[in-house]
Order: sequence, then C-alpha cells, then structure tokens
Amino acid sequence: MTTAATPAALPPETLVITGWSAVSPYGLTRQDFASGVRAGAKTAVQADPALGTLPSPDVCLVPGFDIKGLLGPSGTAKMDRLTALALVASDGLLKDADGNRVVETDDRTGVVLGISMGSLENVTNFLKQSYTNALPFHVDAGRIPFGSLNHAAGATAIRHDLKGPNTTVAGGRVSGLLALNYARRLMSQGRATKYLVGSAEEFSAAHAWIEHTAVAAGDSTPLLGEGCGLFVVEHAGTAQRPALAAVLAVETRVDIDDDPKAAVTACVRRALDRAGVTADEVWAAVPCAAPTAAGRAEYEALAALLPAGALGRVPSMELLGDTSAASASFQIQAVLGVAEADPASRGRIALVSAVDRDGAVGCAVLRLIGEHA
Amino acid sequence: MSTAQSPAAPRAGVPADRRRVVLTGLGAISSIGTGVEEYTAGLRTGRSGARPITRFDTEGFGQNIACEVPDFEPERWIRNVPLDDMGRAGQFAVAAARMAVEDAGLTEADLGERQAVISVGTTDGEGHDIGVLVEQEIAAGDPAAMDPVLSRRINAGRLTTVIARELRMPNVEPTTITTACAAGNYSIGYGLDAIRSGEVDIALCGGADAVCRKAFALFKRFGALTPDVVRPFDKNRQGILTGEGAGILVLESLESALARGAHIYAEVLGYGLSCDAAHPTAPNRDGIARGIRLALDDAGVERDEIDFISAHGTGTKANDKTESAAILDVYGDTPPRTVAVKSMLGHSMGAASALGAIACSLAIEHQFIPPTINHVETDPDCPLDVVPNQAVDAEVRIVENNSSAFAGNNAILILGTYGERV
Repeated sequence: MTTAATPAALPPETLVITGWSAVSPYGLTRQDFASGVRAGAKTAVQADPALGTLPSPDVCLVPGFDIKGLLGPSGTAKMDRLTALALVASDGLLKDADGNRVVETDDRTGVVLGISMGSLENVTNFLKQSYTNALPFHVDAGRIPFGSLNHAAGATAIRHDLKGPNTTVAGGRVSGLLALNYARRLMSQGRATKYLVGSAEEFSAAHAWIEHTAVAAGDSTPLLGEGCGLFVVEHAGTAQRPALAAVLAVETRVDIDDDPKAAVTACVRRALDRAGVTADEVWAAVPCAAPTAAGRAEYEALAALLPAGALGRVPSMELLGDTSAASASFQIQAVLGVAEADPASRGRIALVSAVDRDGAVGCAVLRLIGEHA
Repeated sequence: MSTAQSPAAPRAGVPADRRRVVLTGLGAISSIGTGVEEYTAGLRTGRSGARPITRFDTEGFGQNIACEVPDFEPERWIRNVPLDDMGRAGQFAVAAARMAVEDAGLTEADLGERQAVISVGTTDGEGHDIGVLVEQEIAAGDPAAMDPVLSRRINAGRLTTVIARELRMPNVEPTTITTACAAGNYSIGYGLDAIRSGEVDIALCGGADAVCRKAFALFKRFGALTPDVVRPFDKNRQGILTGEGAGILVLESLESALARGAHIYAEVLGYGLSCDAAHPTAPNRDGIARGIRLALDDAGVERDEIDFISAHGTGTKANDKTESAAILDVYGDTPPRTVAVKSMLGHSMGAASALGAIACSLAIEHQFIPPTINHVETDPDCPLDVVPNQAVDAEVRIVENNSSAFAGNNAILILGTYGERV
C-alpha cells in the first residue's frame, strides 16, 4: 500500500518532522545540503595545513565555517567547533535568512542532541595544557565550559531561550536515532510540546588521530566528515507547520555477538513491523555507510531485505565522509532532500539505519508527506 | 514565562494510562562501600570516601585527595566481555549493572531477548583513558603512538552497549546520557518514561564515572576543590572532592515485578527536567525551583509529603547557596530535611544522582535519613536541617533527589514507598 498520507490522516500523537537544517560538508544551509545530495557531489578536500599534521590528507569539512563571522564576536573566542556547528544549525532551523524567528518556541520546547564524545579537540588541549604547563592546573579557564559533553545542547538553549528538557545522548553513528527516540518518548509523556532534535560531530586533528589509531586491522584510515543536522519535531495533531515526514518507528538494538548483519536485520525487521509497513513498501533506504566491516554488513542486510531500487534512491553517505554522530541526522535529511524534488516520493516509506563501533544498531522508518515545489 | 513563583504549566497531553514503575534491584559501587549492604552501612554510619589519589600523578596540584573506590574487583562481576574492552567507568557501569540484576533476582535467561532500555549517565565517560592517550602522544611526540585498545573504547556510548553485551541482552535501546552531573537522574527518568509508556517492562538505569585528571584539574582551576573534606551547606565549605563509582537501578513495571514476586525497594513516582537557558556553568535558582515543581507535579505529590531531600549539595559556595534558595522558594519557611550525600561520596559526577537515588531507596527501605557529614556550622544562607553528622531513624515515605549540571540542566527525581500511593 502506498496511499499518500496527509497530516490530517495521521493519528494526532504521531511524531512529525516539520523543519530541518544542516550544517554539512555541502555548506551552511539546508539548501546547500539538499542540492549537494541530489547532485551526488563529493565533498572531500585537501586539509588546510592549519589543522596540523593529520593521518590522512583529505577531509570533508564544513566549507567557510568561520565561527566568529557566523555567530558574532560575543562568546565565540574560545568556543569549540562542535558547539558552533550546533548553534549555526539551530539558527538555520529557527530563523529565516533575515534572522526572523519562524518557529515558535515556549518553556516546554525541548532540545536533545546526539554526540560521540563531544569536542575531543577541547578536552585533549585541556589535558595537554595540564601535562605541559608549569603547574598542572594552569589551564585556560575560558575554554572549560565548552569541554562539558552537554555544552552544545545547553548553549543552544541559552541562544534561543529554550527551557524545556535539555538532554545530550551519546551513541556515535546511532546517536541521531537515539535522540529522535528520546524526543518521541518525552513528548509522548507530555514533557515537551516540541523538540529541537539532531546530532553533531566536529572534525579536529585530535578526533582524526584517535579514529586513525582505533581502526580495525584490515581497514584503512577513514575519510572523516563533520557537521550538525537538526530537526523540529512536533505531534501531528498540534503541529504548527506542515509535516514533511512522519516518524513511524525508531528501533534500536545492540550487536552482542559481533554479527552486525544479523543485528541490523533484526532491528530493521522490527522497525518495519512497528511502523506497520512491509519491506516491499520501502521506497528509499539510507545506510550509514560506515567504512568498517559493520558498515559493509549493514549494506548487505538492507540489500537482502529491501526492494532493489530502494538503496539507489539516495546517493551514498560516503560522499560526506564518516560524519560519526552527525550521520543519522544527515541520512534522514538526505532522504528529505531527495524527496522534496521528487513528487513520486509523496506518501512513500523511507528507512534509515546505523551501526556504531560500540555495538549500537538503529533504524528509523518514516513516511514522506511533504509538499513539493 | 515560567518563573520560580509561578506554578508548573498544566501537563496537556499526558496519557491517562501511565503504568506504575518500581525499583527491584540496586547496584552500587562507591568510595564508601560496594554492594547494597556495604553502601547502606556507609550511609548509616556516615563514612567518608576521601583518600589519597592513586589514579594519576598529582604532583604540582598542591593537593591529592579524591573519593576513589578503594576495593574494586571488576573480575568479580564482569564475566562475558574482556575487561580491556572498557575503561574504568565502563567497568564500574557493567559491574553495577550485574549487581543490580542479581539483586533483582533476574537471571540472564530472564533477560535474554526481553525488550529493555539501558541508560547510563556520565560526565566524563572514559576521560581517564583520554588522559592516558594524551600522555602517550606527548611522551612519543607522535599521536600515532596512542594505544588502539584505549582509543577504541573512549566513546561514551559504550557505557551502555557494554552492559548489553555483558548481560547478553541484544534487544535493548542503549541510551547513554551525557548531561554531566545531572545525568544519573536523567537516565532514571528516561527509564521511567519508557516503562510508563508501556513500551518496555524493564530498564537498567543510573550513572558511572571514574576519577580522572581532567575533572581534578578543572575544579582546581575553578577554585572549587576543597583542600580537605566536603562540607555541604556549612558556613566554611570550600568546594568539592572529585569522586567516582556507579549506581545502576533496575526499574520494572509494577505488573512485571508483582508477577514474579520481586522485592520492591520503592516506587519511582516522577521526575522533572528543567533547563536554565541562562549561564553555561553557574547554578540558577529559578531553574532548580522549576525542576522541583515539575517533578512534584509529575509525581502527583504535595510539598508537605516530602520526608527529606537528597540535595545536589556539592559543597561549593555557589551551588549550596543557590540550591538552598530554590528549595526555600518551593517549600517556604519549613523545608524538608535536606541532606548531601556528597559529604561522604565526594562528587561522583555522572554517578552522583544515581548513587543519590540508591541512597533514597535504601532510606525508604530501612527507614533512616543519611547524614551530611563534616558539618560544623550551618551557613545562614542555607537555613536547612541538614541532618548533621549522624544518620537519624525516621519515617521515610517520599523522597526527592536533586541534581544539576553545567550547561543549566536540572533533573529532579521523586521516589516513594511502594503501596503508599494509589
């Protein structure tokens, strides 16, 4: 069944995506992201020497990401890149190009952000100062607040005066889906009326070297990406803006047997079941495309379960590099970007999956319901 | 706009058919005792966890006291996953989870394919490992020298997935919550919501952190590290001691607990989350008060029903004064007795409010109120009965457990005697 569902036809408690923003290797805006994805453009560039010695010459950085230029001089001198990525994405989510607020918020608007391990550049720099300065506590106090793993979510709340539940979840590539499920669950319990939800990862030399040394035998140094993808999610019955997609299911699992293909298969099957759709109905599927054995197993699992055309509908996330915690949000946004230019997408089912080094597996099933230009 | 003076907003859209949630297992690893019995004894007798730091070299800091866990034997609890797959925080989390499910009388066969939430809160995760990696890079003059065993295990997401692997539970939602020093209460609240909604019957929730150089240097730099002992709400308090450990609680639907005849420590009555949206590090009176009101409202509890508050109570000038003011804003001139278990445990960061919640559960179980130790003279800015130095026997039915974090995050949990409320 592929009957087009309209927001009016959705049960009022259905979680719907009513807005999104992406700060990505394709650029600073949602439009940059959507057009980049649709073009299947590569984003890898040769790293600027200012980043320091890196294990690999190429990176997928957000182009033109000048923190002070984008966020102003106040409070940005010592800001970590992760926080800045989240703040620029939150501006893009809540404001129009002229800086006017276009999304209403109140004291019960929540924020939940998925991460891997925050700003590794901030924490490793802090520790280097502690190890090498004259005294071990002679560290730059101005940078300390940015080293808190929950800082980016808290800073987003401060910037936009968002006093609802404010949470940071960690789960690497699955963190965007964990965050989405967190928002869904807290909204279902009446703790928030609306959520800013998404996930973010920063690129730094510290991150690159840790990933380089963590690579499994047989894998090569990963091409790393970065960015932040954010959504506004609401309940269909009370949504203040048109729904772009309904979140039908978010399911997670842990691969406890070092068998990622089996774990992804089980997770996807249950997500489809919870969503009340069959595998045949999946119009587009986007795996996280991790450059690891688990990433390859994820692809095989989807290919075995889903219709032949589904995996080719959206260009591979490899084009963005391994964006770690940002990836699951970017995957959903890649589907939305493709769908907004394809009227045939309306009412169709999209599926996004993710696998993480630490064993987490996730899958979200969406129904695409956006209007088209 | 909600302020400390206005009532909590009405909870539109709250499902009427929320299920009741109870605590059926506790796992505690702390500087004052590991295991429920030892932890209870520590709380009752007002033990201090302060001792010289062994984890890292403290030369140059001018002080070397923290609340380390002195007697941790990971191999006693961790059987299925190689110990090298996790750092010390992960070992604490897994061991406490094993302890909690055994305390709940749940076997691996009981858990198995059962759908569950595993949620562990943390501030620094494997921050100690990151410190070691940086040391290796500096020593070799080359970041390629970093040990892959450590670089693979530093992401905080592992704190929950490794519990799933150890307990052989594949069918779980592994949500690590990194909302710093309020993360333990956040995690317990998340488990409450997951079970209340009917989506799962069981959740393993709490927090874990390990003493590390990063936290020690950070609080020293902020002038928030006491040179000797922690004196929450005392006129002469000088700051925190960093601490460590883990607290994991088995949350279970009441139906599930009754069906298997499980021992019930307490009922999880509700919780509240508030965000100050004001300052990245300073505590906020209105934000804390709003969180308390949201929690009372969620629990359906009146202010005069709270028998004692387990405060965030870090022992810093700013926290204790601000938290006291927020408590008075909510409770008026006759607040409940308010104790700070951090006087005994130090600040165990992400584990802190989880160990606080376990302390509350044990207080309900054994009908006592743990003390605030090291207390000499109550600060006039903190006009509270802090139960100084000696635990007291008391009728304890409903308890509030406070937590706050950098970035303006407050999480307040309400626990009650099972059977008291219908």
